[in-house]
Amino acid sequence: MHKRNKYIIGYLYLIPALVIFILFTYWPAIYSFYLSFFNTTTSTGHAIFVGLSNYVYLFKTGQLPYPFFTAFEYSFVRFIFAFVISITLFSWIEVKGKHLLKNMIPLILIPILAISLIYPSLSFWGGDIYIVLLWVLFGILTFYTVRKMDFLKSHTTLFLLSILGFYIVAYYIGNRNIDLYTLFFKIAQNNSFIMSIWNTFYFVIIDVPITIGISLAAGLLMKNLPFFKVFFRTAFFAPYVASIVAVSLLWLWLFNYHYGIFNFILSWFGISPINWLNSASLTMPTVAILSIWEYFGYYGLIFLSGLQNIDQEYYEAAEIEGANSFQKFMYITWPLLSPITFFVMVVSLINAFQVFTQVYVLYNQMPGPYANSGLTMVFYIYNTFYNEQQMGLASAAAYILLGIIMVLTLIQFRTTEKRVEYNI
Amino acid sequence: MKRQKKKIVYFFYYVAAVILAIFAIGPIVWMVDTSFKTNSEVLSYPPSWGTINALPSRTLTADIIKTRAGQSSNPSALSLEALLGSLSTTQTTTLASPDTIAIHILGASGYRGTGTMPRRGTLIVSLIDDTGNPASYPTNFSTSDFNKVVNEISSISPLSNDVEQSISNLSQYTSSSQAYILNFYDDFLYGSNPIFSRINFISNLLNLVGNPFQDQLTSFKKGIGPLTDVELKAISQILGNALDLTTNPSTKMKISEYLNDIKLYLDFNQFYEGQKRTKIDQPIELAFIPKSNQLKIVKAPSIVQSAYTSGDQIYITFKNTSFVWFLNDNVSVKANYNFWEVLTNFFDNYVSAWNSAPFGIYYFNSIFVALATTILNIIFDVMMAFAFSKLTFPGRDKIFIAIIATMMIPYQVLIVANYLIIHSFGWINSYYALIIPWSATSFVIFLMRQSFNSIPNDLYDAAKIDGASSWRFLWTIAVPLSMPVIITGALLTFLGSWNSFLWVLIMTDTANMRTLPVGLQNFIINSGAIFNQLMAAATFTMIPVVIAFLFLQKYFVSGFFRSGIK
Repeated sequence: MHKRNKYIIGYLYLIPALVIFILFTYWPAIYSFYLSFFNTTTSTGHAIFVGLSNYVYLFKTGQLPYPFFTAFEYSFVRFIFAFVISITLFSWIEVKGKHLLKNMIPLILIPILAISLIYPSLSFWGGDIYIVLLWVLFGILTFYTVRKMDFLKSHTTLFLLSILGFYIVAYYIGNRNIDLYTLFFKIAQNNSFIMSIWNTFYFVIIDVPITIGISLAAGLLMKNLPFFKVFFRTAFFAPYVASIVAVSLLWLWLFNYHYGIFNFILSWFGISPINWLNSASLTMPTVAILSIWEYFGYYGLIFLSGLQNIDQEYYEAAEIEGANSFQKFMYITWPLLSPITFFVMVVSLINAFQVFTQVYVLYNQMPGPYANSGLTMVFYIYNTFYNEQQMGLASAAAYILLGIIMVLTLIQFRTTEKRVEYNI
Repeated sequence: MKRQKKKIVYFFYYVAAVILAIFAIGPIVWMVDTSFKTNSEVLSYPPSWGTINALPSRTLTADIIKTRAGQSSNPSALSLEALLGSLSTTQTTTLASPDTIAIHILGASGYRGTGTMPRRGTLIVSLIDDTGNPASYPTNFSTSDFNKVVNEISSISPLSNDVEQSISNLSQYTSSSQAYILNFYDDFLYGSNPIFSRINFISNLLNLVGNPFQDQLTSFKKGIGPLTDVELKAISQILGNALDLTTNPSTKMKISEYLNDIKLYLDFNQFYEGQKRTKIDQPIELAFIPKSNQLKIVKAPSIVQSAYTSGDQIYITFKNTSFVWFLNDNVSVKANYNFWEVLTNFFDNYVSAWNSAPFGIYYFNSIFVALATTILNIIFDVMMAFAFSKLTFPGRDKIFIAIIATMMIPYQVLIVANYLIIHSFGWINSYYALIIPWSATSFVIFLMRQSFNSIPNDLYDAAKIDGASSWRFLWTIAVPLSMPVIITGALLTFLGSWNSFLWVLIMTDTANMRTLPVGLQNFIINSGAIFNQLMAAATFTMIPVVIAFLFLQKYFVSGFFRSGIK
């Protein structure tokens, strides 16, 4: 009896907040999932169950210039090329130039695969059989080389970056018209939702790494400066407090083509004025610059709090051993800071996927200056829902956004899990 | 040696920190700076830091309106009689208001573009002639002299077609010397297609006399405005030489026509200038009267009767004299402001921005919504966090994880369903829609739980033994102990609510429910690209919160340190 009372009291404490979470978070989450299977813009005014057709509509590709599989083949060859070169590079670092024989196989295979790129016409080798062959080779190779590589295991991100780098090289050597990337871009021209995914990823790829880099630098500076700490902290933090509409308005002025201060500063270095706000290719970078400015101080503060929590004794010990600043950063700060870095990565990633207001204000309620170049996923949801009144379609798009964020966060969790080192 | 090295390292730290700080506050400083500028300063390149709005006096670029069209096109310049006159006769024969001079104020000198003059302070208007001396006017004008000159110039012949036509046209004005003079100068110098226009007139001469005088004549094409007396005299000298050289009789005829044109003009101009015998002995000092078109005459020569203003122009009415006597003159306008007027100039953009949209309502809404959200958040979040931290009941940790998981869901994802739910409650366009859904925040709950966890359970047990209920323990012991984190949470929710945009945009559709960000966005759309006013609006929506938060920022930091993310 007494125990049950205690439980009831516990639940009573939860009730107000829980009601709000249920009404405005859990129930909408279920409800919009349900909505995503309905067409709400019918002539009768009643929503009609349409199954998955909202999702199908979102990814409708239209007429493809060439079959998906062809693009896949080309991309796959490029990927293998990048992968093999990266593996070779990493195994080279691993053995530091010794035991060359052991690593000969990838070295022999590189030229062969490189030639396959110079002759981009795949039919030269008879199409699909060639792909199967590559699969087999790829499997053997991976198994053979990755088996013993500790260096690679501890530098997964670096490895992925290296693959990406060599992929780009391969892309520019070979036939650029046929590639998954090119195909995706071509589909995006006809499908505004795919365009919005494209733009959002483009934004995230620019925004997140630079934000993390600058805010880490800001955090380190705030920690290590002997004087005027508060001044710099205040300065870095100021942009975060301002409302994003006011901030976007301010940057609308800074980016102004004729009278903006940016083009004026560029003119000191002899750079001719850049049409920041009126160029489709610069839309997302422009928005990214603004967002980096707005948020770096906030993440910098989070980094600072992490840095303050690192035990000073480590540094003292390192100093006795004669470590320089760079070594102290690499072997003490960076590993011990990794939980914070991880937190900032997750938060800034989720934040970056929500980019909307900046575009809305900078481009006068339009998704970019032209060609939907500023159409982000949230903008797509807003537009489909608010302007076109297609609740079902908007919900489906929202769920895909949610899915992408979830998947990326999970990947981050998985890849960083092993490397996040916790304070002892 | 080592210390030396450390100093260098610190030097680089400071360089980096200063660069980052400039990156962070530079834009804000530039925003505030721009918000004080005049229109013409905003649209000037290269940009400058200062603004004449801060100065007690400024020189305004101004022109006397000299054309017939300019005089008659402005109905506000007409006296009642003149207006009736203009209605009863044809336009061209009417002199709109012969006693009133119209001066067009272009804006601050030294800057490109037009700007409106602030309608306050005093204006010092000086009429000056070509040589920079004060302008003069006739005191006793004799009509018989005028008639004599008109007869004289009418008898000059042969004339070129244009001039001949103009003179025969002018003959209809002989009864009114003022109308004659205005139309004469309009035809010859200041009209839309004057006879002595620099380019056309010289081009005609070049076609006529050709090669030997090409260089001499071409040099007159340089310069602004119609040809001056001195230039015309020099041209007639050249034409005289050309007349001697040519043998072709038709060319000779043409040249002498042009020579007569110039002589006619110079004769008339000599008469006109000769009549002006009395100098204007002092500048005209005019003061703006608030909410009135009339200008107060502070100090002026006796011929000035009254003055008023309309748009970018000021009009000065004379006693016993006419503006036609100042056609060849220039005007310089200087504006003086006292301390309060300087202040008003300085904050002019703020006042006009504030008045052009209901920012008062937006401000109230923002403050009300943010405060209500924050208060509800503190109560609800503290309760929930306390339950998660100190109370035991089945499913506690599972519920906690479910709450924390909502941090991963961006609210934009749920906005469609939320709109429909709020719509079904009938809350669209109400404070409920802006406050209630935001009155519990999972991140704040997480922060507070961490903080409550650091309070020892023994303390709670001791309180229970002393007979305190959990409710009492929460508000009298736990909350005061976790104050820094609660303040952090309050600041985070306040800021989130204050800056919220998409939610407010969707949930409201009238001005009296909008908060500042949405109101500001509306202002941007409605006002166009007047960047000084836009920056003023951005400043007054941003600065109060920025300043408040800069003072409270230590709570942000300490909140993160104490409970934060370890």
